Amino acid sequence: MSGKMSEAVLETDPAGYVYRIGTEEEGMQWIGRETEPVEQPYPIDVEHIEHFVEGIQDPNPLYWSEEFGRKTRWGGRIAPWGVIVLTGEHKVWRPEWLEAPKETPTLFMTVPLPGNRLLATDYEVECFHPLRPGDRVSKSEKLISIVPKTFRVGVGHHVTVKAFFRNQRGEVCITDSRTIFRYKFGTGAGYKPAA
Amino acid sequence: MQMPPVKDICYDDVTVGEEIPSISIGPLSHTQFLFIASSHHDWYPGHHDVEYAREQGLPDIFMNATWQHGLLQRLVCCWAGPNSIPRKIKYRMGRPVVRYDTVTGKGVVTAKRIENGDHLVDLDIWLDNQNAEKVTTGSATLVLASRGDAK
Repeated sequence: MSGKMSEAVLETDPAGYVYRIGTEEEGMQWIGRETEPVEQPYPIDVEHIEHFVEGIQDPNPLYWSEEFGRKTRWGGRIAPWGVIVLTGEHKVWRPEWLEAPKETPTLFMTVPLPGNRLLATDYEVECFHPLRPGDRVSKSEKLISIVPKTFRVGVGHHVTVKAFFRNQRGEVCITDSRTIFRYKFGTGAGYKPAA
Repeated sequence: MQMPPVKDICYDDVTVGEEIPSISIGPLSHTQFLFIASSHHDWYPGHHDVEYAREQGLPDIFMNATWQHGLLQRLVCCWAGPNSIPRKIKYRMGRPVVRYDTVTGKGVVTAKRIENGDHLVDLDIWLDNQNAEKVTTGSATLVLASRGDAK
């Protein structure tokens, strides 16, 4: 599905993700662009933490016990980095009458490029301050690079975006440099694992 | 069951080349994939819809990057102890982690250094599947306590 909105050509994939479609040259002009910090709609809470570490089967008591945390340098329970994925918008269903949270589209999809699908490939996460229950996290992004690539799934670009996660005191707790392969569906030769 | 004691690895006791204890999870059922999708609020269909994943040219539904990061963080933090600081974790996902895989996390200490007063340890880390294929490879840098800290 494609459409034209505010002079931008948008395409929606079957998963419901919306991509701004453009040329490689248009995309390259976005390198260095930064987004404004947007506060995540939900604070970190202990249920998020326990749910997250349950999926990883992580027995680390720092994530399970306030009492244990008090005996460590952290002074209390902390959260593993990945918990920030839980403080974002819930997208499955909301009642119509409820005001939708502010959209925070990621540069991976808003940068104009030919690709209309994506796959994550590389991550680099740096931690500076721990996240704790009750923290309100704000996220901003910066577009770092765009590199043409071809893999078995398709022809496209490696897009690297650095995200900055700040707590309510403005401290940068985490930076997350993520590279995804944004490609045009139907241009690939099928799946084959990377060497 | 009692709460485990606070037990940390000391920088001075770490040897370059030493392997850290491995961790393992799996075989990963479809239910676990659904649990991760739900618990991460990550409803990208490639993580839970087999038909969708195959239409995209992938072999099956696959675990998301955040789950893999969580596993790598578990690997290094459970070894280093609760007072360690996982300063940096970097990884590349070369193959997808798919249904019924059993994933094993492993690591080797590659360097030790003191930087701005921090006692840093670097490791190569990776995730293998049940066929001993590396699905994800990366590195980690942790800040560890040293004997001098206690003085």
